[in-house]
Order: sequence, then structure tokens, then C-alpha cells
Amino acid sequence: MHSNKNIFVVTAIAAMLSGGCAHYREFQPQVEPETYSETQFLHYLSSVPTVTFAEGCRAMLIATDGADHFGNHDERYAALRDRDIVRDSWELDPEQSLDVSTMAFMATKICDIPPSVCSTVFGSWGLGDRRYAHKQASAAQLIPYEPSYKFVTGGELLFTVAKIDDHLAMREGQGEKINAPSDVAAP
Amino acid sequence: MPNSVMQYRINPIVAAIACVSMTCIAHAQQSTTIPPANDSTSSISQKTMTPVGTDTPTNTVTSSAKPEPQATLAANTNNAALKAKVVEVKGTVETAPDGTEPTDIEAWKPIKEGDLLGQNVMIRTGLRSRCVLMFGEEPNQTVISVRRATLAKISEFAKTPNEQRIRMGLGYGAIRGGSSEGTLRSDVVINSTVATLAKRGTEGFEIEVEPTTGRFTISLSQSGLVEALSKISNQRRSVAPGEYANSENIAKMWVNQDIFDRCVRFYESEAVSATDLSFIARETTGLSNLGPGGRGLFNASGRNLGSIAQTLRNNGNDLSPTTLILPDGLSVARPEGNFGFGQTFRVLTPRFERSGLARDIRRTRSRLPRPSTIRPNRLVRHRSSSRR
Repeated sequence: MHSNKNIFVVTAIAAMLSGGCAHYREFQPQVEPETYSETQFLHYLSSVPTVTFAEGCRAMLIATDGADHFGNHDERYAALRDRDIVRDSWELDPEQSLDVSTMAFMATKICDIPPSVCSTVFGSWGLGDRRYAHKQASAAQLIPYEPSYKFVTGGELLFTVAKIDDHLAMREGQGEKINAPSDVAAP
Repeated sequence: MPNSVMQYRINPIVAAIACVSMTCIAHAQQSTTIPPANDSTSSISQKTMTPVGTDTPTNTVTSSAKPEPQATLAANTNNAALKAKVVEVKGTVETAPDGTEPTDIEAWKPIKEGDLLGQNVMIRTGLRSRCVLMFGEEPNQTVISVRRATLAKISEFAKTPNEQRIRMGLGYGAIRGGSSEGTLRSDVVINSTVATLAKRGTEGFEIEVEPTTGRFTISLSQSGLVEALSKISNQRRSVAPGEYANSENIAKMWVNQDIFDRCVRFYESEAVSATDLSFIARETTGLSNLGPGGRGLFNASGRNLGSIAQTLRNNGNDLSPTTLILPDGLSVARPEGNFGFGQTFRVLTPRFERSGLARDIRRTRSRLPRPSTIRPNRLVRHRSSSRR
């Protein structure tokens, strides 16, 4: 009797772990997001309840390059993978919902946040790479403070993309400096 | 409104977690429509507006939307409404009449420098983009910068004989600005779905609203006073220079920022590097942070102080670390109190100047006893027998 109970618990945990990662949204946008320009796509994100991995890849690519030079998800994914912003080992489908830790990993890679010791040691094996990135991105205030397993809303993705933009602008010394009318020369 | 229900394949535990998440998402599905100009929560009294006419613009973006009561009042005077001038455009900045969806493909038109924007006009920006608007003429100028990934709206711009009134709406993103008060009192209110920023004669105010989640930050970097109002908790705070109020700390802003957020550092000799010394030398306000990787200093407004320091050096002003050496007992007058300096500052004696900074730091490190036995002013000469 006792062993049957253990088997049940183990099976339940296994089912939870195996199924918890695969998660697709039912919501379908009225207009195919691929048809939007970069700016339209970013503002489209503010209206969607969840975003897919494909949309996340496109948003991050826009944040990285300032523009989207690719025509489909496969090309974008390959470009991000070449820069180690996404990893094949995650085995994420394009239509799968994007979670906070995946978004955090992409954000830390784009912003070149120095990795922690744990992230360097274990993350290089692929063990907890996104989990450690979640902590780093939270500390750098690149992402909203949310649980790592939570699925990202469009607004949160847009917020993160904007923060990445701020971070890159500051790193390049192009942060906005206008504070007073005297700083602005009228044309 | 699209159906936001998700499909779950798995067991009730995961479904329950997701339901909680969905509840949060549904709560966060506040409309991103930009709130009206006349916010009833604003503490500014509603006065009769008497707009001052301007020349007919050569390139004007106006809206056919129904004017709001204040604007109606203004129209009764047979004067044209004031318009804001676009003085800087960077990246993708587009405008459309009020009520246009942010994702509308046709309605949004790009703007350029020199354009004049009237009331009830929406503005959206992309990444690496911003647009600077100038309201009014000298000496009563207000500058508003619509920053990246932002949806905003000019709700009202009018003048009375003694006041210049500006109302802007913010759907999401960030707005930064400042105003100079000359002959007129400048009255600026930036209204969003979750918070309101009311300016009281300031430079360097900013409001940032996160889309759909209800989080916001209102900050002031330079001078003046800003009033922050959270519409969710209905709490109101005054934000002084160097402070910020957000959705979490608006009720206990002073305690949080003074104890937890403020950069109060105590430098131990072992921790001093060239970067630290550079930071100490240039950081004189307590309101800046070292940039990522030690590159540059940034204050609350995102200004890079490195460039300021370089400018001062070019003008012949020395910013060596010795500028911070203070005799014992002398403190720096700070409005929030003097937190003192760490022991490292006492190490910065003229001996360091003569013999070279880095070499002395190395020597000092090698000679230092345990921190508990450090006696100020004698660090350089002290030798620890326990280390030899």
C-alpha cells in the first residue's frame, strides 16, 4: 500500500514536470504580427495577454539590432542562436508561450550582464542557465520582478525591451541628457 | 477583446498556478487608452483658460476629436489653440489623431523637426527613438521628451494671463521633461492610467509607466518639486530632487530610499581600486551610480557624469581624489544628514599624491593589519607583525 502511494506521488511529479514546460496560448491576434513593422509590432505587444517564443525572439532581435532584418522565425532564431542569446537545448517551439526566465536569459545576454559564479559554472552546462539569468536580470532591473516560471505578458516583454534599449544607450554613451529647456536649442 | 484563456495540457496543480497568473494578467489588462486631460484627482484648480493665438503652422497635425471642456472653453474665445513645436526627432516617431489604436497600420504618420502638434494628438515612438516637444516661448518654456517605446498624447496646451497649462496623457512608456518659469506660472500634469505627475516648477522630472501591469515610477533629478499620485492606492507624495516614487514605495518613500536604496558606501582599504577612486573623486552628490563594468557615472536622470568631469578637466579644474580629503571633524553639509566617510579617505594623505596612487594602494594593502586593528591616520606606517 505504501509503495503504491509512492508510485502515485512520483508519477504525479513526473507528469507535472513533463507537462508544465509545454504551454501554448489559445489567443490568436486578429492581424498576423509578422505583417507589422518594428514599431507596430512593439506597440502590438502592449495589447496581448501572452506572447509566444517567436514573438519574444523578434522583440529581442529588434532590441539588439534596432531593426528586424529577417523574414521569418527560423532566420531570427538562427541569428539569436549564433549570438548565444537562445539555446537549442531549450527545445522551445515558436508557438510556445514565453516565460520570464527565458526572457531574462535573452535580456542578460543582449545587455552583456556579467554572469555570476553559479551561472558561469552551472549555466555553461545548461543547468539552470535561465534560472540564474532571472536573478541577474532582476537585479539589473531589466525585467519586472516576477516568478521565473510565469508566462510573460506582452506589456512585460515591451517593458523589458525598453529597459534593454535604455541599457544599451547608456553603455554606448547615448543616454538622453535633456533635462531643462536651456538644454534644448530651438531649431 | 481577444480571448485570453490558455490551454493547459496537464494536471490541476499547474492549472491552478496558471489560473493565478491569469488572474494577474486579467487584472493587468487595463486599457492602454490614454486618460483624459482633466483628471479629477489633480489638485490644480480648474480655471478659465484664455488661450493665446499663434501663427498658422506650416505643418500642423491636428485632431478632429471632440474637444474637452477646457478646450471648448478656450474655443469660445475665438483664439486658436496653442501648439507644441517638435524640436528634436530621433528614430521612429509617429503621430495620429486621438483614439487611434496603437497597432493601426494606416493612421500613424511620421513627424519631423519643426512640426507643430495641436491638442488631442497621439504620439508613439519606437526603440532607439525619442521626440522632444517645446511648449511655449521664452521665457516660459516647457520641454517634454517622449522617450522610447511610448504611447502618449497631448491633451491640452493653453495659457491664462498668469499661467501656462499643459496636460499630457501617457498610455505606457516614459516621458521626461522640465520647465522654466518666467512671467507665467508653469502648470504641467502628466496623466496615466495608474499615476499622475504634477509639476511645480521643476527641471528633470520623469514618469515611466509599465504597460498592462500598473507599475510606475515618478522621479525628479534636478530641482523643484513633483507631486506623484497613485490612482490604484489613491496615495499622494511629493517627490524632491533625487527621489522617486513608484507603485511600491509611494506610501513609505522616505524610509525605503534613505535606508535601502541610497548608495551609502564604506570603503575599506582592501576594496579600493583605481575605479573606486575615480568614482569617489567624481561622485560628490551621492545621487549617482557607477555604470556597468565601471564605465561611467550615471545620475538619477541617466546623465553620464563622466562627460561632465571631462569638461571640467578641459577647463582646467582638477578633479583628483585629494579634492575629497577633509580634515578631521569637518563634515559636508547635506540636507539629509552627514553619513561620514569610510576609513579609506583617511588613507588618502598627500603621501599618496607624491608616490603614485596605485603603488601606494598596493603597499597599503600588503601592510594592512586586520581591519579591526586599523588606526586612522597611521595606516601607511603601520606594519602588521602577524603577516610577516
